[in-house]
Amino acid sequence: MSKYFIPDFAKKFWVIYNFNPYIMTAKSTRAYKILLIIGILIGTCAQLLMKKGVESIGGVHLADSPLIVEITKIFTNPYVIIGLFVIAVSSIIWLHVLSHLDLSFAYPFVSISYIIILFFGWLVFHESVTPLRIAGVALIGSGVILISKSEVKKESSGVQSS
Amino acid sequence: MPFILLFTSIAFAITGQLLMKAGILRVEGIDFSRGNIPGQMLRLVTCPQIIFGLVVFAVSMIFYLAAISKLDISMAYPMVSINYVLIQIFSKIFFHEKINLYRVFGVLFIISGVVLISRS
Repeated sequence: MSKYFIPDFAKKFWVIYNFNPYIMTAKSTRAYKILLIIGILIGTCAQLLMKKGVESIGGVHLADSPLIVEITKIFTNPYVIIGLFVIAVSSIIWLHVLSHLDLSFAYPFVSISYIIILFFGWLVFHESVTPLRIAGVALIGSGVILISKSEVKKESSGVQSS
Repeated sequence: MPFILLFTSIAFAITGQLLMKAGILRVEGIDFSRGNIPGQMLRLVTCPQIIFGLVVFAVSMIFYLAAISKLDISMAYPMVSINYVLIQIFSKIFFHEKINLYRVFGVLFIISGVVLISRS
């Protein structure tokens, strides 16, 4: 890419268009923010799968039956097993993101999952969209945007990407 | 009993996140663009903080599932969002991360949003 003259602003768009965190410069963290959001989307899918799994075994009752019985019941459920696999994928993405971004920066993005779950409920289960929920989603969204505007301290990230 | 489950889940979730961050700092981060993906994966799975962090996180998930199967979501969601505050405080203490006003207000916005959603 360096063989040709490419202006800086064009490079930026090139990076966004061909999403690839590996061609990022140390300066820009935009691709890691995108990777962070993708990881949280995948993690939320895992949550929904787990929820479906726990519902299909009729809830977890730690007090009612022996712990071993409950744990076996949970971990032999197909939804839970797929959910765990998806969690493993999202964990690797999460660790990848954490090696470049602050924990206090990355963690609040997890709250996007509330918005995704509400959207899912509206899309799939036709749950009602109340003004209160819209206000809640707007607040969470603005909170995440605020945090994404905060600087990521370079010294605390473990890796200087090249 | 459900509240004890929920608070245990919250404590374990935070501990898991902090351990994972400590571990990733210890192995100096992963970046698959540097090649040697098996080697990097090996470094990940041989780092005690990361493995312990993932285990603690998994345990917190079990407690969380157990808690929300008994608690009302409108009660559980706002309580779990204490996580966002605690993560800010502990990342400041352990990793000396810069907590600026953007992050403080961002977290406040998120928590009020979560409260609104769970009240509806």
